[in-house]
Amino acid sequence: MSTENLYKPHLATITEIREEATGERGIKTFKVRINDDEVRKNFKHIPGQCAMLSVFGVGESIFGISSPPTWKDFLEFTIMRVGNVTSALHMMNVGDVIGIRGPYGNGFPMDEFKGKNCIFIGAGVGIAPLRSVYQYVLSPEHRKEFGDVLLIYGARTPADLAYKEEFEEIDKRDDVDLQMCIDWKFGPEGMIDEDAAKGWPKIKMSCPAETEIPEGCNHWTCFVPQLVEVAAPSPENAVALTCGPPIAIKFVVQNLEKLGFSDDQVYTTLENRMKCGIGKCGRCNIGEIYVCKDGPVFTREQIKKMFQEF
Amino acid sequence: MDDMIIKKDKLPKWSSELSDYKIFAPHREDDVVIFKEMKNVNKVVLHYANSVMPPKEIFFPQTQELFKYEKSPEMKVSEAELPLEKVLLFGVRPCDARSFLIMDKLFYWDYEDHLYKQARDNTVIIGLTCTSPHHNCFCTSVGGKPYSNEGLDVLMTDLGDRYYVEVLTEKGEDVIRKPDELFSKPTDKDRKERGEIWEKAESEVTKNVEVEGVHDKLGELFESKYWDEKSRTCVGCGICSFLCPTCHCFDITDEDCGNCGRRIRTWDTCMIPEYTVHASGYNPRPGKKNRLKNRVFHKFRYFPDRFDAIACVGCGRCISKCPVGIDIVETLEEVKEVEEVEE
Repeated sequence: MSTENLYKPHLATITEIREEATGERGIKTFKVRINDDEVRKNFKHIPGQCAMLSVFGVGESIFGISSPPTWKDFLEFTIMRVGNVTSALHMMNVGDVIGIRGPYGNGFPMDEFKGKNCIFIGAGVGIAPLRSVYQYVLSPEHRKEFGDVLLIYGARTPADLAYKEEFEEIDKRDDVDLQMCIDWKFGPEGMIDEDAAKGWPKIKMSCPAETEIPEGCNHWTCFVPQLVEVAAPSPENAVALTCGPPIAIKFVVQNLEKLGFSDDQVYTTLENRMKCGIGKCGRCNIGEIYVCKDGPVFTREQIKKMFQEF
Repeated sequence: MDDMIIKKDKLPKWSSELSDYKIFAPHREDDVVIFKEMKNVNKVVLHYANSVMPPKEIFFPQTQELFKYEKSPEMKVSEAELPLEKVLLFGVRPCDARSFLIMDKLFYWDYEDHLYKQARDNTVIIGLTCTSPHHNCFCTSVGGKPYSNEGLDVLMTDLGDRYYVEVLTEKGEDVIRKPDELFSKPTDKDRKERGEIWEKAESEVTKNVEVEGVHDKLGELFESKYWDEKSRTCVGCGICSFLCPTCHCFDITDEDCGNCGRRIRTWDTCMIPEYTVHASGYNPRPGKKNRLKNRVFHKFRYFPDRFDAIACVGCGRCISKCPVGIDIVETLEEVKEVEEVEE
């Protein structure tokens, strides 16, 4: 058992900052390199695990690691600007030093996914934790261990889509089915700005499965749950991983159920306010479960058994 | 080590033999009893129901430094100073001593919290049997006794002009100095007297609740309207958790002074909305009812499920100090009675 100071972060340097989405709640991806060689080498994470990032003088927050463990020597975090620490991070520059401790949490059970078809469904910034998984699955080292890959991702507008260049690369691959959507101006009136949505044909809301699919098109105007219905993945020998805002998850999961996915085939991540990340400070509990230690990854089966307070 | 007797007039001499320890003992200040460092043995209070604050802060201070940082282009982070001195905690009530074992479960599971452990390992705990329990005490309902020795290194029982001393651990043996000069062997009369005092004290713990079945019943009441009713008067002040010997939640913040600063942890309370609110503004426990319910569930269901112990020692502080009179014993009685009406 360890007796070191678990609250003291390691120093790390921001080596690259990429702007993923602009606006009041902008999203940036930070590439971070741990300063100490030994610590960097020993920082081994599982896809889906988290880390605590510090801006000294401002505070500390927990984030999902958005890069796969197959990318060596650095870690990436895709962070939306929402609070004190995230705002301070968004103000930082390449070369600035932050603190990092972790990895924390359970991560996705990659061994259990071996040999299975993997379906990834990300909505908004929820794509970030999934990226550590699909990039692991799609990596040359591990691609053969998994079956077919379906990747569904949606954001509000084309400008809100993260990892644009990366998705262009993924789109070129023939071993992954990529489906993307935007719900921009897809309001209650069903109004669409035709110009902005050019190249993003609208999926029939009333009956998404009946939408005519133009040859080769994989960009849509609809909500993520509808796209799940259109893509209609088979539950046979498959696992579905979904992350995003609770409302999107709710309908994604309903649609997966309609497609025949059982609760133990559907994985998602939960989030709660956290301070310590190591099961001491108390606040992330859902019943007797500590999200920081026992999560953030849970199956729908596990989630159903919890007291519904999240 | 065999049981012993020490005359009360030998306490000053005994304490002077323990100068290698920093001694914390009950003192009366502004009409309340608190634990503070002993400078003069004659100022120590020996007749009291219990201290207003539990002695948990010896191991888990209200504010504790985690590390220091210096801002420079390369940044520097340095260790917090560890509490290294030997501490003697004198006059702990058996309920509070049991709370340390409950806190241990949390601070030692999975990762061992080094700050807590350091303080815990360096401290010898001498308990004092409760001879006159307070009317809000209910230790016997949650597995305790006014003379329980769980979590103690030494237990002393007041026999009038002398104390009956039981040494329970090796750590406890270290504080028995000059045994031939200061201590004597107990007689059968001493033992008998101690037994009578124990029995009398136990009979004076009159507040009680049968907690058997509470765990399961709570499971049925997660969505109950009972919590709306119960929390109506709660003002969300959090005194119940700040004074609770088993409450252990903390916040982590930076104390910044420009070019340098330190990261600290401070006691927190689940009774305020900020405790769980997400950066997005979403709060999974938005109302008083959610928070009061969480506290009761945590003590009597979540903590037992996770760590196999009720997170309550029956000290009664939350009952005595609640500004609106929310009584945990009454709450548990009500929980057992609530009948859910299907709507």
